[in-house]
Amino acid sequence: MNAHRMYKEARPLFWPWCVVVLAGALSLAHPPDWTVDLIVVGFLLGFLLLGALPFGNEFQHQTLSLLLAQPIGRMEIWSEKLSVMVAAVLSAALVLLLAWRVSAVQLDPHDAAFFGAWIIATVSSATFWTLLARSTLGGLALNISVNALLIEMPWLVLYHEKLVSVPLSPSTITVSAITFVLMCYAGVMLWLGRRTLARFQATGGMAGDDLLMAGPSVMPRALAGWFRCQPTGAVLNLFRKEFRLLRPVWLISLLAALGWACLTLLGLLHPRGLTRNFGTTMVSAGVITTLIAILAGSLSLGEERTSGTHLWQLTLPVSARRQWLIKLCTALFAGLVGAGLVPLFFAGRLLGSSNMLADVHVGRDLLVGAVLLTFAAFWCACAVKGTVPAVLWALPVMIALYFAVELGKWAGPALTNLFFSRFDPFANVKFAAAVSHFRSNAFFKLTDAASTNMTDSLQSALVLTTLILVPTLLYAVFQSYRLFRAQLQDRALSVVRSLLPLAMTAFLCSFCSLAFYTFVGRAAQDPRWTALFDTIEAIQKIQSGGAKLDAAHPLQLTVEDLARASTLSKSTRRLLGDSHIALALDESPHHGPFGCGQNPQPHGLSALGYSWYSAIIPLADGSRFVVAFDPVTHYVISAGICGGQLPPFPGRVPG
Amino acid sequence: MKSPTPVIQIENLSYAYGRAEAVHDLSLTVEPGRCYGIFGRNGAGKTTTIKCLLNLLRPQSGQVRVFGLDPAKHEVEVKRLLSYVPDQVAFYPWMSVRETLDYLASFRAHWNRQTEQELLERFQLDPAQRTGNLSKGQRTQVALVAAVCPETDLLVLDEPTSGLDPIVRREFIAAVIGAYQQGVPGKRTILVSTHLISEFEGLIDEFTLIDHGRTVLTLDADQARERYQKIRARFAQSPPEIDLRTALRVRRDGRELELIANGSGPELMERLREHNPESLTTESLTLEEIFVATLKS
Repeated sequence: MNAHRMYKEARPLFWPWCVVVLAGALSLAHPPDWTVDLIVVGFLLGFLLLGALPFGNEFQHQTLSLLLAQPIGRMEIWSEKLSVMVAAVLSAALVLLLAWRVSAVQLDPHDAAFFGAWIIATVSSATFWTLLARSTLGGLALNISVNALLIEMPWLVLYHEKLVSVPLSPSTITVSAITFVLMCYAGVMLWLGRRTLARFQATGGMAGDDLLMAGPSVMPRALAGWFRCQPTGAVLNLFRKEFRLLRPVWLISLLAALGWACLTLLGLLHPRGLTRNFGTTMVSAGVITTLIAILAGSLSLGEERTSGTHLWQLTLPVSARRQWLIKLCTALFAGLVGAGLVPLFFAGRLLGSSNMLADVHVGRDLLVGAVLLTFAAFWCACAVKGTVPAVLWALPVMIALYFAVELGKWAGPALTNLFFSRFDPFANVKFAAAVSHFRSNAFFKLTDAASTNMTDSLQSALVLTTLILVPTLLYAVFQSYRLFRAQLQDRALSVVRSLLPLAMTAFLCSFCSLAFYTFVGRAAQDPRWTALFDTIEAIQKIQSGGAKLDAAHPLQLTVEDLARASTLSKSTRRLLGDSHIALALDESPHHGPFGCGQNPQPHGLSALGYSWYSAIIPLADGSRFVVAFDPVTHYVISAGICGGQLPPFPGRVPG
Repeated sequence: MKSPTPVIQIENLSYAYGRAEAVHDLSLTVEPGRCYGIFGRNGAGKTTTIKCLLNLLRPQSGQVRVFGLDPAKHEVEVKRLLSYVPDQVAFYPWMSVRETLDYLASFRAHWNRQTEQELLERFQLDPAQRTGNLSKGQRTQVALVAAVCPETDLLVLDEPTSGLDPIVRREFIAAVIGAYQQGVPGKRTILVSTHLISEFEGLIDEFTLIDHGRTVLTLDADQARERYQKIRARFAQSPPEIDLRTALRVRRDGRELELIANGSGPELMERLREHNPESLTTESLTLEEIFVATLKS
């Protein structure tokens, strides 16, 4: 083996290998539960890519003919490529295993055996499928589809208690049998790959001239005629061209739908069996839907950039903006259908309406996730040259944005709290009350999720997500248009350069949202509210004797009166100063929500025959705090700073 | 009388890919009805200049006007007025030749079906054949057909003859370019970028020679032929020492002396005559020879 050639083989695998290793090592960072599936899916996709890339790269750069023309045997080329690929896969798998061991992830030995055999089978068959499809993505798609149909389906069937007479939890014999079958499959595919390379003929000359892109038409003639470009109707022709460019996505979606239809059939017959295999089903469905979403976003522009038709398209007399918009809309539609609606439809059928996937929120999340992933892949296709680099960048870009948002979420409250430790922006009570008013907004119900209902919590989460997501997405859309028409340099640094402002936007959005949220929260938690609670508590103690109050002649209380009834803190004394607190039994219709005189609407509770105390507490800074509370239950009916706005006053007075 | 708006006007155009400067302070003007050549070696900045004209690249400094319009602001209007053959022709591999031409025709207000038919027959292209199965030369031919059929006012050709076989090349230049320009004389303009200058010898009216992104020479083709002359003198003995500093290039070969003059032809002839050469001949340089002589000097 030649060192130079081995280096040449290793170099294009380096960055994908880094991505796979990163995905494997992420479990060390104890990521949130929902990201674990994403990591597993990313990791499996990474393995598949590592298997397809050694020959896929040669097709992408149209260098296979040149390589085969060199004075070395084809089997030597095959063994060199295979050695590098095996080394990359084994080292990545080792990292994953170590990461799982360190982070104490429990793995079922049966699952471990199955996944190990699955990885060997997919990696061994990658060469054959790539040579057959004549492209990285074609090979990847064929490999996944065939594996899903021919390997995972029997696995699911074997797990099934009623179709064959095996225990529900597979015995060691069953697992051994499946592993043996997979190993045999791997051996056969390895031999087939070697044979295909030995007999390979370098026909065709264009990039993208692969089986999935330019293979024989599988569409019925009538439908094919409709999708054929016509001499008139430029916009419709652009849509037709986009649909045709996305042919691999439609084919994979169709194959996936077929597979899921089979599972549905089994699920309908024996629902319990499939529920037991939920994890396996979800992981394989996750791999396929992720691939569909990423391909839907990246394939069209990626293939045009690889083949050189993108620049040529831009010289046509139709605006670049329109071309970009049509491309984006078609990609999002394909992603929504292939990775969202179709899986959702089958998930409902497959897992039953009581299952979580049939839940409206999960369904919505799946659709939003499919669209977001498709858009992320589209952005990558705009930022890099070619489909394969776009696919490789999609997950790292999403991970980078996720970390940017998380960093903003951490930094926003942290810096706001640091600010409060140095400064006191709420020295003015009116300002504090005005700021705390924002807490009544849906956005601020997020922290009260435990005390409020689930709808409020979801609504708040949605508002928060919108606040972070919308500006980031808008910027990403604008950036994707700019990149769409740009001449790209084939360097990783240029992607990072494009990604940085986007990550910065995501960071700033989450930082500002959370900093504002914390700021408002601090306004409501201001110690001055505690001082007011002290005052009310003292008033209640004074009135516990049931002294008769006259609305026309309110009881005047000084700070000393309050101090005699209840303990007042220093800050409460400072806040009240020399105030004289007017306390009256308020039986008349309540004037205004805070009794400030404005908004003279009769208070609703008066009509019900309630009586309550109304206390007017002049504060040292000149403002008046008005509070009306029920003397029996101690519930505060209304409270506020006159001239200010309604603060989110707690419902019950302490004590 | 008001002069017509130039078809192309480039003023102080500069563009760099990162730190690598592709075009620097380039200026040129193409009048209507002319066949204008941009000549230069590989990597001279020809394609970058053309991409700026088509709004595929935004000039980093200077300005570009096509039919008096800014391609960045009037993108579609400009592209309606021109057709373009790129240096690397690529089509969607699943489309047939017929479908590709239909697809391209759908973007145009006018498409000459008769010309299309004639050219397809002349190039022996099968309309039913998939473009993915075409050779590089055949793809260029399809691109040429697609560029000529809309009969736009400006035809931009970037290395149009690369990949064509010698027979098609000759036919292409004579038939396609000639026919295109003669269709509406004085109106249709061609901008051709190439380093295979000899093939456009009789067609070029004016040219700009660029090297490392900078303008080296801009001349009318006829003026260039008058200005650049090859002088051959043959002496009875070895050539005498003569002051030939005004010559662009001097080559001594035995009793022969060969000079290339850049505007100083008559003066050099006079000096050579003073030394009684056995024979003294002069001839105009071809555009390719001018290209080589200028860049080598």
